[in-house]
Amino acid sequence: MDARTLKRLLIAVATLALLTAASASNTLAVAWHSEPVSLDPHYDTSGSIMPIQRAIHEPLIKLSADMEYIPWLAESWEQIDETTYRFSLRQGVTYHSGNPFNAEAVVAFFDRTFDEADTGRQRGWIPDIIGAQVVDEYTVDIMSAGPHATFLDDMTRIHIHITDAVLANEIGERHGSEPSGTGPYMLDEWRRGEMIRMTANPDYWGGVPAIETLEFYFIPEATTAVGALEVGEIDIVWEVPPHEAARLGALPEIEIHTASTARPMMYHFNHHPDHPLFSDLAVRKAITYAIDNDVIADVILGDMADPLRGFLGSNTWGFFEFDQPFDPERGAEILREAGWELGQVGQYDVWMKDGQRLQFTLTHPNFWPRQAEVAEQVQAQLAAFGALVSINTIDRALHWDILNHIRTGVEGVAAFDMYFLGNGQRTRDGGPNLQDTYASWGITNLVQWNNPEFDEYLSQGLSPGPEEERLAAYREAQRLLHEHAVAAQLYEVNLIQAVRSDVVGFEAHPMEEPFWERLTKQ
Amino acid sequence: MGTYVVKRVLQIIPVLIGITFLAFLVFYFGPGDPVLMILGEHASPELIERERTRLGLDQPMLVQYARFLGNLAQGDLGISYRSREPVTSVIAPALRATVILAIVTMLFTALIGIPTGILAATNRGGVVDQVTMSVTMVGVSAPAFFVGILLLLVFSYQLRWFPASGMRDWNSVVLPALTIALHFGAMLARMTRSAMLEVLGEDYIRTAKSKGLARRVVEYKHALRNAALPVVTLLGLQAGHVLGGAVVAETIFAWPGLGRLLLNGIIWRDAPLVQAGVIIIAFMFSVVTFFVDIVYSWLNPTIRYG
Repeated sequence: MDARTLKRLLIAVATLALLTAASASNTLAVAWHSEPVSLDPHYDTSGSIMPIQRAIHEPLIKLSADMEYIPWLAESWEQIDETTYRFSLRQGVTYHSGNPFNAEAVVAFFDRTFDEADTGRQRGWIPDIIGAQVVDEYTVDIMSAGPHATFLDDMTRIHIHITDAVLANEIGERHGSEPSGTGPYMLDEWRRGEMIRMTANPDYWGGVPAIETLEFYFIPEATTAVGALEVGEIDIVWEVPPHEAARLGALPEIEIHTASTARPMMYHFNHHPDHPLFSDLAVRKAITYAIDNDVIADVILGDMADPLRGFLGSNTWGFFEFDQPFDPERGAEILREAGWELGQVGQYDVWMKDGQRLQFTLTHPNFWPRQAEVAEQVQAQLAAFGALVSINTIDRALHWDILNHIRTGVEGVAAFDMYFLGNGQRTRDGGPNLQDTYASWGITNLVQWNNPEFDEYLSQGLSPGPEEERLAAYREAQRLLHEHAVAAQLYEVNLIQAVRSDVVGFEAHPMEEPFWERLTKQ
Repeated sequence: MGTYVVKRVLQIIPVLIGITFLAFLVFYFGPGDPVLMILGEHASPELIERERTRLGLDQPMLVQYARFLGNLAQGDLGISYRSREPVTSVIAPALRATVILAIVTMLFTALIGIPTGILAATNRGGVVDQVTMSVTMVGVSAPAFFVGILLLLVFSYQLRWFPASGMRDWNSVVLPALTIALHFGAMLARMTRSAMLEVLGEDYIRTAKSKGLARRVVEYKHALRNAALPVVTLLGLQAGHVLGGAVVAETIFAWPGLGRLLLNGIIWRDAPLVQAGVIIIAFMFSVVTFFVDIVYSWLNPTIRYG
């Protein structure tokens, strides 16, 4: 190699290095704990990866971090009768495929979503909506089956995206790996098991996003993700374990953002009328007095949770405080009044009545963060109170088996004793959460609670009407949940996110609505 | 030799058929309903039934198995329940990552294990022997998640020599491979040492030495070749293990390999994906053992199989 060639080579290498450095400053790398299986939300509505879908796909309305509606693909809307809303759509928007976004596209989306012959998952999140109709090119009517107070909330759900249904109908399931949306980023490369790379949409209706390349790295081990953030391989860790938060927050180059996710976690009682223990209100009440949820939230979960003071997340619309105080003496008093007495089982003091022990199982699905420690803490608190408790951990598939067995009536009383459950509706309005879990028709009513009075109040709250009346109805419904001790309150979950300080415009959001297009890097 | 190879290849077929049956049975009788995992908690009972019918999961067990085998015979591994893509296109990139990891790991393992073992054996009882045996004891005992996180802290976070996660650069493979290779290499060193010691005590070594052959020639040409059988066996088994997915190392370093893919497949009851994965792993294991057997007869021509 002569000197000239060498010089050329060196210049080429230097240029390449400069180019790489320049492009790196315009790349945002985000660490994610799990990976989507499909980038078509029609097939994957897992809550944990919805913010990734949002880079590509968009809804009609978004929620701001303080839970206000933001017109998004819809510029404005009005209710035209009890079951219909009319939306004026944003003009000049196109999908990544080149297909126009207009009333026909919206109708095509709802047709695909509600196609009976198809197994799409989005419709499960908007069960009260029945379809849409074109009014003119940029005006569309969307209809619900009956009067529906949370109509607009349904449109803001993080699971609902107006995907490019015209294209999806053409290419079928391939749309999962070649998605087209109206969003600020377009899919560039998806290396399965490893990462997804997206590039800024040059025709984005909101202006070209400042960050050119958006990368999502799938890092299952939290220690690895946090370490990669510290050395600068990663700019954002979407979910940080609570024990790392304080340490990271103290570093000058990292900022911690938190938001309450409006997700209440509780141990629900089995309300089957034949349950040997929990068909008795006194037993349920006593157990709620025996659990100290301040200790659980503050000591075990730290920044990740706040003690739950009602039956909804405290930032949801319709939340009312109905606290279950920690008062084991009051709990003991209730049991004594109901005829229970403390007896001896081995080395333990255990409540007994007519030869029956206060002994049961806590069942908890293993997909919630730190649920094992929470279960052990509850077990210890209940043991101190005089209940013999064992813990049963199950995985996601068994969780859904139980749910389905209860729904189909195969297994009611035998399904579980107490069940660790987080209400996952994630809407501004708390009504849908109460409905799914506690209404007699609730689709995830694992609890098997059936109370006509509650159903009545909840229906009133879910019907369109003056806000004060709806709130009053929600309050009565929650009062009943409290009176009947439907569950033992634990905590509401906070989202903890870590972001490198040179990323500007980041805001933690209760519903994990991401706003990728707002981010810049210094 | 030719007939032996053909026989050996034919033996792989019943093994694979047995594996397909087991992989099928586990999902058939195991808990958890794949249809619910596909449709999610909001699906109506009618939809659940219809999807069950569409997937043929309402058919009798043997009918389901026969159809599965029939598709397999045509090279059709099915459609993943969860991602709804052909299983082959889901597995291919993970398989590639796993094969890369396995090759580098086995290279490291051999480079660490064999020279260390020889060194220890030829210095039997000396300081070198004692030190290497103590260190390899640690290597054999230390769990992979501990070693992995230690390597991550030192070489990625402190020294910044290697990336912490994924397959970002050509050198991404080093830390996950080293995590496994330190464990495997320690095992291999101990195996090499004991195999060498056994051979070094044989009469023909004494003869070779007394002929006045150089020490190196005796150790490497005469002793090592004869000590190689157990070493090759262990290497083969270890290679099979990495090819079957090294879940711990893959998880710590976010390496997109087969292990994590299949673990997720199991969690989501993605039967077609897991069954295909199990068959591929069984196939690779069979191929590795096949080559180990061939290497045997090359190393020691007195071994001939009937």
